[in-house]
Amino acid sequence: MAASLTGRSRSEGPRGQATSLLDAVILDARYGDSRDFAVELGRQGAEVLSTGGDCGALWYRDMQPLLARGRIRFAGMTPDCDLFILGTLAAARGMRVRYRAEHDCRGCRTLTHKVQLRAAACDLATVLEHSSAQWSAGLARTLGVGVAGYDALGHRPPPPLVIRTATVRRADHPGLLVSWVIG
Amino acid sequence: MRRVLPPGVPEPDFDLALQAFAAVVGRQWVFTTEEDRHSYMDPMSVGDPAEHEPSGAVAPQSVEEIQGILKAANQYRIPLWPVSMGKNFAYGTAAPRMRGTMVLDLKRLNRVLEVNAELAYAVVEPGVSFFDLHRHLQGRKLWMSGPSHSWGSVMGNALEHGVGYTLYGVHAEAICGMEVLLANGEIFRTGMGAVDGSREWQTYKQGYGPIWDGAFTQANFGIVTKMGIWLMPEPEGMASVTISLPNEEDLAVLVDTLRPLRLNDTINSTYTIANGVRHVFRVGSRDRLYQGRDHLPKQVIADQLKKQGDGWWSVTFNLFDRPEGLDIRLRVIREAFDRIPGSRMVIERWRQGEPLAAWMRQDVGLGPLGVIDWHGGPGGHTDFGPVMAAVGSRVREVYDLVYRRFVEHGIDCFVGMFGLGSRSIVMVADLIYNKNDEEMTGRARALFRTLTRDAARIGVGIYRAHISFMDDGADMYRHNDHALMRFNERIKDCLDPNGILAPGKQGIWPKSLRTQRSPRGRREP
Repeated sequence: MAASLTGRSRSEGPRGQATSLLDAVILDARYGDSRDFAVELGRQGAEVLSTGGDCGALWYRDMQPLLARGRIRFAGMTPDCDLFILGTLAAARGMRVRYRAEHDCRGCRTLTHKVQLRAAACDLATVLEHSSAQWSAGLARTLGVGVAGYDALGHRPPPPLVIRTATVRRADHPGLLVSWVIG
Repeated sequence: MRRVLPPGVPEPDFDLALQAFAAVVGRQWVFTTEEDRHSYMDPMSVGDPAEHEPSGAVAPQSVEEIQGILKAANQYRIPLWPVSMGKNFAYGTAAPRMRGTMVLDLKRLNRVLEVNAELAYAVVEPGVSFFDLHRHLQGRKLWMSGPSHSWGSVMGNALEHGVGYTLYGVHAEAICGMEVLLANGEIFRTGMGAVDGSREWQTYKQGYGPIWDGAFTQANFGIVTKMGIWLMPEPEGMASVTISLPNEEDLAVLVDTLRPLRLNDTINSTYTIANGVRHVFRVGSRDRLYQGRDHLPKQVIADQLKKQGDGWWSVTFNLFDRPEGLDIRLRVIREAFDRIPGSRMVIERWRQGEPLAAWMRQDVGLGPLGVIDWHGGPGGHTDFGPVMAAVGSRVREVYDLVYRRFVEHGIDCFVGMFGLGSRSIVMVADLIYNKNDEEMTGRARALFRTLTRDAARIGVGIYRAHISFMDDGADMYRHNDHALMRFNERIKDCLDPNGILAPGKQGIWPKSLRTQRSPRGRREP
């Protein structure tokens, strides 16, 4: 289903902000970090789509108009299985995962980020190290404009850059969320 | 470039075979790079996926192209692993049983060849997914029976004994008529399809002489290229019933109450029994419930069930009938379950003309796959699937054994039991793990093998197995010193003397490759 978190569609264009290079962002409305991430990319002009609890249905129904354009770039912050599903379906259309980061607080109160990408990770690392509660919005801002330079991670992805933080997990964080870019 | 070769095939012969495949399908449909091979490996492997790494893949678009591939495979002794959509998650996906086997990817044969509304059937090729067929049936007042994950192949799911939730929920039983390609490239049709000009191919299963459709399910005797599948005419009414029982001890009475209702067709479709562990998965992430690496303690489960308002057991099933027929069925079911203290029944109803609702499971999707995030992820799962007579004491015996072993191995015992037909129940005990956690997948592997030994000891076999456990599963079928397997292997050697089709599938190895059988399933050749 098309979410209306930003109250505008992509065709209306961004409002005085950096324009995202992403066509769409996938949101899992159960998680505040995912909502912040999607809202930020939505502000930059990406179309916001909700998983609705089923990424398969999302792909075969709601994403079809987008996919009809050909190869697209889209991102999300979701449980890992959603990346698995969307990454698998996208691979069949020649798209690849270009960035993946785990935001892990399993068994503890604070977040550790494990970032994988084939590009300089300085900007992302800085954002994640210094962000507070709004870390996912900051991450989205950086990803939205930096994504063009990301190569596919491939079947032997680079070792993750691990960033331990003092950022306290939100109450609704499921333990592991994954942010990702496919394109 | 690192290469993987089929066992015993010299590299020059492999190269010649690849050239021959390319001449048949075009170079762009032969895949041999490391990235290509990786894309056909099992992403949920319970252990090292390299054990099942293919040597490559070839993707034909027609029966004639498959025949060309078979000719070259026979010439150069290249083993082929046919897959339809390659989405058989939990059982190996597209990966072959034997490392070095070439995947024969049939995804490009993706036509719905016929939909017959009058007789309620479809004829499909291997590459038709449930999403595809669902789209194809829109507006035709025909319902397909889909599994939980719709991206798989309609044909592949039926051939692998998958299940759904309508009158035709036992998918292997909904198959009617196949076109099969043998290893030597010969085509034949089963049942009435063998009669030239037949209009009854998809209407009568028996044909004349032996019924062969079943011989090509969970087997490696041929490649099914077309298959008839029965569909359900849209019913006049439908009800979904969920009954919950409060106590762990209620399993036997639940089964014994369901059995007569299923035998006399009051419950006229498959049912699913879920245990308390499965119910608490609704919290989405284990981390929210418990951080230990051992099995969820009973008290944690009990507290969470209380919070959710769930009983330890539930059974869910669909009823199909006209509205007044549903009234009678529901009354009989309620009377039966009212005799069990603490049972609660929740009913949803639909009648023809109303919009379809999510509970009807007539939509397509992949939502249930989310359970693999139980440990956070990246997750994977496989199933231990014992077949049990639908008798309370027997089901309880097997369940207790399974649960105890899950606890010992520290894997949460997520169980669904499917009432397939009226006389048997298949337990699907899901082993869910973080696939990159070697210690956890090691425990899961050990658990699976322990369970096969335990179950065989009490006369129980499994209905399906991941490629890593196919020999273990076959080893459970031991009557008369594995006479069934000797019979299967005699047929295999006769139909496929070069052993090119899916070696090791369901533990059936061709003569030339029997040494590849895993040690636990190894017997004298």
